[in-house]
Amino acid sequence: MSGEEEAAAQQQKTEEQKQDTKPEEDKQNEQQPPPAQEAEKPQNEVSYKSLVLSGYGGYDKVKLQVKKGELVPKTGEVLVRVKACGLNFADLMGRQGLYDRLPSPPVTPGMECSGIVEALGEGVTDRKIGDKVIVMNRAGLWQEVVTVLTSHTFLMPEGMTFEEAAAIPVNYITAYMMLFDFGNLRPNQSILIHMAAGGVGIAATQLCQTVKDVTIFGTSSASKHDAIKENGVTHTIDYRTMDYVDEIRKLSPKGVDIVLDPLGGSDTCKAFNLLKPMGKLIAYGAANLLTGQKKNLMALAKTWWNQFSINAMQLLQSNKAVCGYHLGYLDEEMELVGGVLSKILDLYKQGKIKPRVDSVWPFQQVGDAMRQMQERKNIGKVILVPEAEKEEKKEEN
Amino acid sequence: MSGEEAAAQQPKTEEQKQDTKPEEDKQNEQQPPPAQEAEKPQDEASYKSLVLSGYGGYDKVKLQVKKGELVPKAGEVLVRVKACGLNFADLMGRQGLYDRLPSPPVTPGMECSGVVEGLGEGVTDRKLGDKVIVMNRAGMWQEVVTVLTSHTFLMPEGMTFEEAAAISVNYITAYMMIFDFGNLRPNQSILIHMAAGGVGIAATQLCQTVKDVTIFGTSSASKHDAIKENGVTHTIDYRTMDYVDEIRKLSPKGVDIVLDPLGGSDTCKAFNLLKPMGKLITYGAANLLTGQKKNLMAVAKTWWNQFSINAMQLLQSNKAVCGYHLGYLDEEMELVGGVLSKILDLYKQGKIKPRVDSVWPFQQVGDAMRQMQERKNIGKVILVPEAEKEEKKEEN
Repeated sequence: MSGEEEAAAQQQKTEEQKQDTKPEEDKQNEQQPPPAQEAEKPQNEVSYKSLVLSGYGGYDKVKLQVKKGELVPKTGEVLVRVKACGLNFADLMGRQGLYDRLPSPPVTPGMECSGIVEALGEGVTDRKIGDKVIVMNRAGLWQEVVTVLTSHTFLMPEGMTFEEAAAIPVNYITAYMMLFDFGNLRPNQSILIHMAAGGVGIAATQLCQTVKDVTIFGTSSASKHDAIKENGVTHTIDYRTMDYVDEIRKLSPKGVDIVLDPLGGSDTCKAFNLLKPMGKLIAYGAANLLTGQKKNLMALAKTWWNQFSINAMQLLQSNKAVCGYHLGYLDEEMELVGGVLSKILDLYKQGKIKPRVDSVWPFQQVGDAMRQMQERKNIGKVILVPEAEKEEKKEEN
Repeated sequence: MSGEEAAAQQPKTEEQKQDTKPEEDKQNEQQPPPAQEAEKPQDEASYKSLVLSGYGGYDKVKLQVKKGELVPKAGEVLVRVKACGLNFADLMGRQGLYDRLPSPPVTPGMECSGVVEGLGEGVTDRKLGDKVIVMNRAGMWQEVVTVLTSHTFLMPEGMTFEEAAAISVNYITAYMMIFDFGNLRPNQSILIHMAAGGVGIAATQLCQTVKDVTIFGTSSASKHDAIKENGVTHTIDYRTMDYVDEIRKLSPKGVDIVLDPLGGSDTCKAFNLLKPMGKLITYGAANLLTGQKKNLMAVAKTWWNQFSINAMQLLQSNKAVCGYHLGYLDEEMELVGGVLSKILDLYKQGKIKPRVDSVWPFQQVGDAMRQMQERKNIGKVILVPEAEKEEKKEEN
């Protein structure tokens, strides 16, 4: 791993150094990876850390690199120094080549982060240097500095930590739009929230409680039941040992008003059948595809084979709604999405919602972070940070 | 046409039949005799009833006189019917295309209005003389009916019997589609097909209870003034224009909600016309109804071109597809009754008002059905048991 210096350029350079990001377990007798160029910056050169997906596959496909050169915001953009990034299921799917909104490798993943505005592009008037912002983008945010359009940045409320800020947009916007736009949740209704201990599950449960007398059925493994109950789930169901359909029918024979479905496959069909008259099924994920570190063709085939399908005549007689939600395809709707985030931040300020952070991992442990989510260990959001805690530069809010 | 039978507590099957062919088909026939309307047999009650004798054309719905007295069972009331609503589903039912209509012979009719004349055992929530709106799975096209009290709803002051027969099916359908599935909010846009029909008129009025809603409404050109006056923002003549093109010109991104009573390829067009987070609500298959008798080509074509979607396509779409069928909500009278209650409140506030297109006596049911079948109506087509010139016609 030699270092080379190139003439400083205005544009970012492709990576000069790579570091392995294998999970700790796989390291065996390897030493801690050298901190590359973090301790001493070359005199004439700016560099920044970036996580890069080099190709589809397992955890080792996401590599920590150091990119050389200075990122410069274009017209209408800002430069943000990133403090924390969110990990989402879609990132795991993306790593396996199953997420269509992620550009082809090599690419930096990451759809949300938080940080501080450090530079303004030409013509920018709606942000200033020093602003603490939440950032959303199609990809590219797992990086120490990023440049984005100002319309993709949102001011953090007072008192919000950078971790909370990175935990809020994707999960809470998803939950909010599903519940209140498609779902039209109203008092005295009931809802089934799968993976109630996950990022969206936690968010949805909290948002449901802003409506009176909503009964929440939440699935998770038994060890997480206390946590999700405390968060607001009315009836907890251990999907690993119980049939959630039977459990719901026992308590609510007619079914539920809304089902949030992140699973796909045959679970979507079950969701449809669990709906009451005027009930709404909102499909927003395909977690059933994600059975392990690498792509599982059997899981893919099974999910595809068993997937829900409906035609107009069946729909007509059903008195039900089937909806599909995909935030990744709403990137041309920043006004709509920004409006929703604004309402969410208001709820935060009122103390009605609060993101739950499961764990915080430095960039070089991205493999462990992904494993945490892949193996369904997290309760709440998994966060990545550019710098490890023990470094002096860690800033607290 | 003779025959008298001993009076009985249960209704008897019909003794007399009258043709109900549309006027045009009558040629040199005289006006059908008024049967036993002028003079009731001394010992016998009887009542007029429209009966679907089999699937087919207009002549399959016959005016009969049933003998005997209808008696309400426990929890039921007897209602003397003043006006009945005609719905598209009745036309489909006549052709054998509506699954909620029991097999012939059966009396059609899902809504009517009238006066409570008898109480069944244990009834406390209605009294004699109450003016009510009535909803049922079938059987309402009759001079007297018996129904559970939960299927009756008190008429507001000042509402006519025709309005009362025009309000339930159409306005409940429109309300639940727009506000439950559709979640209509200010500044949104909506496409209402057949904007001059019963549901179209209702939906247009209900949309105006929400601020700044843009309404695209289709109808033939002759009805554009009427639907515009009712509240449609942009009228489109579907017979001469491509409604998709017309909407795209005015709203390139599409619309937030489409109410689809048509089916077939129009459902696919509707789906593609939706904006992000848009909602398509399918509630009919009018494309099946091309003429008096079942059209197998239309049925096949509609089936072939019908909309279909799987989970993966749905997932990426940011759209909702919903199906609404009031006929399958008959076990949800609490839900449906709650909606009707809100509609009647809006009526009292002057925010909605059913529009009656035409009123037809029972013996002209064929003409009434033709009026709707041939898309001539603007608003609701109403049937009444008695013709206007009879002394017994009561006004509200």
